Amino acid sequence: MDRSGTSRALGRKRSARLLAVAGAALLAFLVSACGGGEEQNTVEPSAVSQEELTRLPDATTYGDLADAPLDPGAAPTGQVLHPKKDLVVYKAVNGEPFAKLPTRQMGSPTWVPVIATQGEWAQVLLPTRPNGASGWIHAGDSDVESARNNFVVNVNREAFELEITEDGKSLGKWTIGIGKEEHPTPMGRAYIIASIAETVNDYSPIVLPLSYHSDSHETFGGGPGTVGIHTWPDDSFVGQANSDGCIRVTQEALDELVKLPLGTIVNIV
Amino acid sequence: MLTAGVLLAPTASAAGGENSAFAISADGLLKISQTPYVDDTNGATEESVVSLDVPQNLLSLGVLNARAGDGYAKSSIADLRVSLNALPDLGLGLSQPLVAAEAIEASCEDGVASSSVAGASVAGIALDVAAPANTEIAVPGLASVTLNKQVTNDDGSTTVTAIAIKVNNLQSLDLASATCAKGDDDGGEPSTPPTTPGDDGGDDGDNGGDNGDDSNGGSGSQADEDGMAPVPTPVEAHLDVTG
Repeated sequence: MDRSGTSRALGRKRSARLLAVAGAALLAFLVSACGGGEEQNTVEPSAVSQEELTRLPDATTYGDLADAPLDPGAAPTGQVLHPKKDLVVYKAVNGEPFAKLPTRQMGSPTWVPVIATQGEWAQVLLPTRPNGASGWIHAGDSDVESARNNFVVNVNREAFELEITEDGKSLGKWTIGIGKEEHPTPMGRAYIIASIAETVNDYSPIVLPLSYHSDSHETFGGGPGTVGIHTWPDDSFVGQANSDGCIRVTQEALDELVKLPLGTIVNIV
Repeated sequence: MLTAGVLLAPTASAAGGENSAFAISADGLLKISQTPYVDDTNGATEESVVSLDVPQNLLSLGVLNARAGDGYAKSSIADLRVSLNALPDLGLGLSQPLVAAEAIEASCEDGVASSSVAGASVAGIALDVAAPANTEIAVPGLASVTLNKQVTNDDGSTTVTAIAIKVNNLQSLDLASATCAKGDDDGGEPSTPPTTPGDDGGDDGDNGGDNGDDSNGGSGSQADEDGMAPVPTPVEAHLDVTG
């Protein structure tokens, strides 16, 4: 199985480009051989000045990027990326910059799921409001660490069920609790943004915050209304809609969920 | 009389963890405690504030943000305007806002500090995007204006303040501050110079040259030998999720 195929493919693209600039005759040959699409695939990001960079808001769970393109719902690629430095996030391949993606989310290394690629560019989901925010980053080897992630979590609110899958195969199902009617768990394609050993709240030793936010709680406690997955001190939640939007799971389920890589997609229907 | 100034409810004590950040603080006739103040006493922490209990004619803002964790701190301000002419005892009488800025940032990573500003001016004087450390600029009517103010503290930590203003002995204003300790790694990793896309060659005011992952020993930030995403290590932090 080729688990690092994407990364190697990116490497080949770069080699092709380097060859292309080596000679005009060769360049002409490559362009005609590869067709017009290749030119767009290898486009480098346009220059972003220091001043523009300073203006760009950080993409964290505290952010609200109203201009972000929304998740188009394309099939996930199974690839996750970790930015090695703050990366500019664009609205499209070589489009308008609108945010920067920092290297950490709540102390954990940032990993974002890739939902589309175009040459060295990757469309990734973002941890900010609004729900489903996405953006394009230039994902060259010097910019990002790339990895495969074959896990997906499926949450069915109506059935109060959470399932972990690997390569589409079910690894287990658990009964969960979800948000109450007035503060529902939001529906959509979220992902795990961090793994928190919670130091203040004592309802769950580990909290897995998701990229999604409550639609009804603009803020919650001191936080920005981030929806999370965590356990609860008693089993009053099992099969109930009584949280403020979070997904409450049993300790048994949490023990499995904490092993999932950051960037793992959580489909909530 | 406005000598009582404008008092905000106190936030967390400044005597917290060794990594800390705040976006704004003012002392004197206008008093604003360090807001939002975060430190790493409870692990990684972040806070955003979109309004302050300060009269609009003195101060208006977009967003203030601060975050801190093991070996790093960052604060930022978006769309700030401070005009203290409504405090007559200060004797400012500026024709321009004391400070206007589209964005101000300060960050500190493993003891290395930087700051930058965008669309920023003090008393109408435009500021450099990324000034060298401890750049003093002369502004008529103000006692001192220091850009990218960097101080090594007694405990070895570094504090950077993007803009530090003293009007006279009655008023000071600090904008975007971050304090971080030198990471406790083996010190063997090279610090990658900033390579932000399109960097104009100036001092990188952002933490584009992040080496925080190195100070984390690379834990959880690299694919395994098979190219698979790593199992995460839970990081001490505090975030109020929606229970």
